[in-house]
Formats: sequence, C-alpha cells, structure tokens
Amino acid sequence: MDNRKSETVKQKIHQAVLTNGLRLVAERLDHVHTASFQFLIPAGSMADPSGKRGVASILSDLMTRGAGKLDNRVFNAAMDRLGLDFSTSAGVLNLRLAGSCLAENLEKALELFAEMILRPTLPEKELAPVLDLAAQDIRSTEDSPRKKVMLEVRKQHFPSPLGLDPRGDAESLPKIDIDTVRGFHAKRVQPRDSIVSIAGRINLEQVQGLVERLFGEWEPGTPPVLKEKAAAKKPGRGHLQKETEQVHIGLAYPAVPVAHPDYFAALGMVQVLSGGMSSRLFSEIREKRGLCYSIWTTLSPLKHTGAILGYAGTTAARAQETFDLFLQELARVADGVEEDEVKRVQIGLETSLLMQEDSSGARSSSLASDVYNLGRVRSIEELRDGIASISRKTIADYARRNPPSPITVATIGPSRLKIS
Amino acid sequence: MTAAFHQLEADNGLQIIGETNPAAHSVAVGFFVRTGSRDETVPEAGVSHFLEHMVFKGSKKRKAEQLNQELDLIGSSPNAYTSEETTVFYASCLPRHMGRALEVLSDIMRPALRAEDFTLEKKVILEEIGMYEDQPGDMVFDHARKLFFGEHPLGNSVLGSTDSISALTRDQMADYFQRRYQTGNMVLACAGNFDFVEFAKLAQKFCGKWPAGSPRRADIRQTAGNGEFNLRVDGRTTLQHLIVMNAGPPAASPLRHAADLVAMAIGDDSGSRMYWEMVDPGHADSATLSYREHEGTGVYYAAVECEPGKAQKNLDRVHKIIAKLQADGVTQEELDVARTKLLSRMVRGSESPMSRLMSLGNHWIYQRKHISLEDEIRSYKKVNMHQVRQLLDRYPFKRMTVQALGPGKKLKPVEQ
Repeated sequence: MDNRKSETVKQKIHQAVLTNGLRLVAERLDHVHTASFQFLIPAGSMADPSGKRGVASILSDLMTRGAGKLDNRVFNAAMDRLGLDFSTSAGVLNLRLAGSCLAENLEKALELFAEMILRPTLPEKELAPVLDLAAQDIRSTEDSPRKKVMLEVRKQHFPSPLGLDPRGDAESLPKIDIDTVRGFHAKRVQPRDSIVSIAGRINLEQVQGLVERLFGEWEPGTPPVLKEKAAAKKPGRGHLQKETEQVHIGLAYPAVPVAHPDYFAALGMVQVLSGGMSSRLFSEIREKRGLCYSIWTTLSPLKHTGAILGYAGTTAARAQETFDLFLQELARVADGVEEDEVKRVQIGLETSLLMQEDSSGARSSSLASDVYNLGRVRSIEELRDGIASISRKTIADYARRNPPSPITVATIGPSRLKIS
Repeated sequence: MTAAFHQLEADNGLQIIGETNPAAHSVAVGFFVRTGSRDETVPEAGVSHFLEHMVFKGSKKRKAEQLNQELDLIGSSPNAYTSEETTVFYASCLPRHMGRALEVLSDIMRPALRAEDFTLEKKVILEEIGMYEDQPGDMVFDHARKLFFGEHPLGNSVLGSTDSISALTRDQMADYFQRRYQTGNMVLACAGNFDFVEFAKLAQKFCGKWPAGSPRRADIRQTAGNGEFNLRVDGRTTLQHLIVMNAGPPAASPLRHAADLVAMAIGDDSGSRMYWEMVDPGHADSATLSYREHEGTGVYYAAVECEPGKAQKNLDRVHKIIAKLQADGVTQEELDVARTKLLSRMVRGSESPMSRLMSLGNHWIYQRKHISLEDEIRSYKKVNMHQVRQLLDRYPFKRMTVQALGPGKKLKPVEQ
C-alpha cells in the first residue's frame, strides 16, 4: 500500500495582500473547533532606538494595557470573556502577537487585536510597572541556568544586535520613557511587510473581508531594514562562574537559512544528531555512557542566516568528557550516516508535520513563518517532498561543507572547560 | 465532537479503553499505571521514576539500542512521566503505525531490568536530580510538598534524592515492579483515528498473559495542612520563590470543578485577582493559584516569584487575597469569566489525540469511569455560587503552609 497516498492532506489555503501591504494567509482546518492567529510585524528588538534596548519588548507588554476606548482592566476583561488566550512578545526581528480561541469568537478576538495594534493607549502610568516586571523577568533567568546559557551562547555567537536578548538589560531599561515607546509604535507598528496568519475552522472568504474591514485603514509606513549578519569567523567564548550542581554547556555554529537549497539536508543532519531516541547524541552520550540527562541540538534558521544550537547539562567531574564527545559527534556526521538513520529521520519529520494538522495554533505559526522566511506558504506535500529528498548523500555532503567550526561555546557552572 | 467511547476488560483484568475520532490525523496510545512516589517505602524513594527510565532500557526480547531504533521508526518520540501517583507510558503516531506502537509499548511494559543497564541509568537519574536542583522555581515545590504533607506519602519527592538513588538496588526495583505493575492497577488507553475492535484484539494478544492482581494504595487520607512556615536561604538564587499550600477536594469529589474555577478566578496568570493585585502593578514577576487533585485529597498552591525585597509584602498580599476569598467567595462575574476561560482552553486542548488520551487515561485511573469532554463541560457549567460556598466551607483556607526559597533572610510568617 502506498502509505503516502492514503494520508494525502488536501489543504485549503487563501492568501492576499491588502493595499496597505499587510499580507494575509489563512488555512481552513475542517476537523478542529478553534481558530488561532498570529501577527508578525517587522518591529523586533533590532529596530530598538540606539541606547534604548528593550523598547520593542516593552511596547509588546504595554500594548495589552488598554486600547481604543477600553482601559487596561476593561480591555483584558474583554479578552477573558471571549476565552481568548493571547501572547505578545518581541523577537529579534519581529513583534509577535498571537491569539487562540473557539472559532465562533474569532471575529470579536480580531476586533480587540485591531484595537491593540492600531490604537493602543500606551498609558504613561502603566510604564513603571511594565519596566519593573521586565527587569524581574530578566533576573528570573538567573534562576534557570539552562535558559541563561542559551541566551549567553546567542550573544557570543551572533553579531550584535542579532544575538542580544530582545528584552534588553538592567542598564538599558531605565532609559526608556513613554515618548520613546509611543514614538516606536507610531513609526514601526505599520502594515508594510507585516503578516497575519489565521488557521482553524474558518470561512476563508469571510476572513478576508474581516481582515480588510479591521486592518484596511492601517496607515503604511517604512519598515526598517533588518538585515541579519552571519556569525563572526572568530568563535565566541563565554563562561559564567556559578556554584551550580551541573555545568550547563551551550554551543552554536553556522547553518543555512530556510530558503537555502540545503535546508532539508541541514534538518536531516540535526535530526540524525538529536531527532529521536536512537539519535546519535542521545544514544552515544546518554544511553551508552550515562553522562547526562539532557543533551540536544536544534536547527535555528533565520531568513538570511542560521545556526545550529546545542545544549548539555552534566555534573562538573563529567563535563569535559561530555563536551569532548559532543564535539566528536558533531564532527563525525561528515564521515557518513546509515540508511536506517535516514529512514528514522524521515519518519520522525513526516509524523510531526502531519500532526500539525490537528492543531490550529501549530498551523497558524507555520503559515506565518513560511510567509516571513520565504514569501509564500509551503504545502504539506511540498514539505513531504523536501523530507523525502533527505538522503545519506545530502546529509554527509552538507556536514562536510558545514563543519562545526568555528564553534561558539558558553558555560555556566563551577568549572571551566578546556576548548581546543 | 465526534469521539465515541469503547471499553473492554481483558481476561486478566486489564482495562482497555478507547475514544475513536476518525477525523483526526494521528492516534495516541498509552499505559497508565496507578503508581508513583506515594506508593514507595522510604528506602525505595525515587524508584517509580527510575523504573520509568528502565522500561526504555528494553525487555527480554529487545535491548535498549534496538528498542530506540524501533521507537523512532514509529514516528513521534514516545515518552513517559512519573508523578506522585501515576506512571504513564505513551506514544502518538500516524494511524498506520498504531499496531506497531502498541506491540512495542506492551513489550517494554515487562522490562528486563538488566543489571548493567541499571548501573548506567542510575548515573542519568543522578544527573536529572542535579539539573532539577539548579532550578529553584521547581525545587521550591518539592520542599513545599514535604512541609505540607509531613509524614503522608504524598510528600515524597518523585525524583528521590541523590542518597536514596545511589543506595537503590536492582532487586528493590524488581520487587516494586512485581508489587505495582499488576493488571488491576493499569489501564491501556487509546485515542484518535483507530479501530477499537482491532486494537482490543491486539491488546489481548500482547498483554493477555500479564499477572492479574489489584495492589492497594496504602494511605489515602485527606490532608488538612499544618500551618507550618519554612524559609530556606539559598544565596545562589536570584529571586525569592514562595509557595502557599492549602488542602482542597480530592479527585473523586464533586467539588473539584468548583475548585478549578475558584483557582482560576483568584490566580490565573492573567485577569485574576492575584494578577491585578500583584503582577499588574509590578510587585511580582508571577503570582498564581492552582488546584491539583489527588486520590483521597487535593491541594491548592499559591506560587509567587519576586524580588527578595518585595517578598514580605507579597506574602501579606497572598494571605489577604485568600482571606477575602474565604470570607466573601468570588463574584458571579468572576465565576463566569473563569468558566469561559477554562472551557475555551479545555476545548482547544482537546483537539489533539494526545491530549484526549491524557484525559481519558487519567480519569479512568482516578475514577474508574469514562468522562467525555461533553460531560466535563457540563460539570463546569453547573458550578454556581452556592457550590463555591460549599467548597470554601468544606475545604476552608486555614492553617496554610508556607515554603520560601531564595536569598532573602528576613521573611516572617503572616498571622493566620
């Protein structure tokens, strides 16, 4: 039996560009009861005004504290009454505003989002608590060395400001005043190069009308030129001394962006390393040697560049051995992979791809990132072709052309690693 | 929803249940074992969770390496978790792999417990404990539970301690396995796109020879709480972590729905009283109230994370908010909004077969019955102001237990 044929996914996708530049992409999912949506606005932390890091992130928090005629409490109560779960945050490149609700509440939910995006109150009296919370949030990372070390490795790996924590820091936050936040909103939160994705039990024609009605009048501006620069040739090194139980190791090395022809080869390689229970890092370092509980790598592709990020946590006495083996496994993929490994990787990737269809949230997120990275949506079938193209040859060739060098390493713990 | 429920008891007493939904793209299958850290003796501390790891080291038929490769061929990484009272092994996969997933999962539920695997995996468990100890936001819950439950076994840590795990032997684990993994203590559940008749037939083939038996759970007392206060000073920690615990209704109580709604109205992470009085003004990085049901008892946790200098005032605020709740309950408006939020999350959370599997299996383990999504929705819709009052009278917030962890040295208990 041809399995693939029996599980062919027929997608209903609609795309449009409003006259003000806002790009809409929507997908109808017949078997869910919900609708999820996501806005990507090119106003991430890279667009922060100089000397005022964290403005985009502060704006993303302050936007939820009142909009249009509704004050903070009334606005949030309106969201709650719809059973709407929402989140707003600033990434490095984009502001990301997302929501999820029962499908019948989509129209009202988008009306509230339109108020929040186009007409946020940005009340001055709310700025102090938002700044206070942002500072506490940054400090809370100190109590999670696993997260902290990955922030540190990004900072060491990517050229500034691409590698910096979008939340800003203790020095930059106090410099932010209300005029800066309002000015940033006025200039940067605009529809050109912005994306809205919607997935779920929706009527595609009605959704187009709804988005036009709510966002058609959104005044276009000039989006910032946020060009990602590739990592420096010189590898970054960082160590934070702390009396933790484990040494937390983060690493990063360059990889290809989503649009690159080698993207699926890179994805396949990362899956061979860290995709499942039989993947190499898990098998060699945890299963055979018991050196750590958590060890992984992930492909973190951006629009113009990319990185492979990795993590391992292990007690001090075993940290050097873990690290050396980690590097050894990263390099060893270039010596070739087995046919069975490729097969397992393909099944794993295809399964998670098809399972997205059971979740409106996962689909809306994929739609938005495809449009952002590629300017179009890849169909499930196209992605399946990409997965099918992964082979022993593509992975080994990719690994040879993209060795883990230069590699950036950051650690948190009671001892340092020797890195040759 | 189009899900239909099916049930069958195998000859050896294994319960086989399923919820079929032909529109789903995947299927999720899992074994739910009614066992966890509360079922351990003192020298066995951490054995339930360690055993969960050992299951993935293979059976007599399969060694770990072969098992891991086979599991990856099924697609979605299978997984497992251990709590104070359940151990769950599950996998979700495409419908075409269901038979294989069931065969492999069934096979490893009779683990070989090889000595060399035991020695190696012990190291992994010790690393997991180390990782956990570096997360004060997680550790504070362990300390709080120990303080609240005292000698009650629900205070046992799921991971165990470095000492207990180091001392644990393979024979102790084998003994625990024989005692707890009997068919009367387990349920096999499946949800999503599959055929129940075929599933049940395979299940009987794979699991039909497992030993029958229904081990008892030793201690299912309701806990009242003791009003204790404990401050652990840890200079390595940056923020202050506070947990305030109080007794609540057990899993089988008809008041559990009211308890969920009250917790949401008072302490959801947005729009609740704790949010408006503590997070919105910037006093605390996070401040929530949640309710967790257990067999025989239940607990509320108020959890706060804040700057050490703000901890005392925040502890006062938590006590004030809870005292007001106890005295006046919640408003109709608060109850309605909490209900809308909770039901919306529930429906959204039930879209994937995996989330349906968890609901199906856990309800069966706790209550020995099927509770459909529609039944659950109905129960939440029925909660009214009268029931909220009943809940607060029957399980009042008094003698609350407070655990603090962080750099602050001066925190004082609040008079209750």
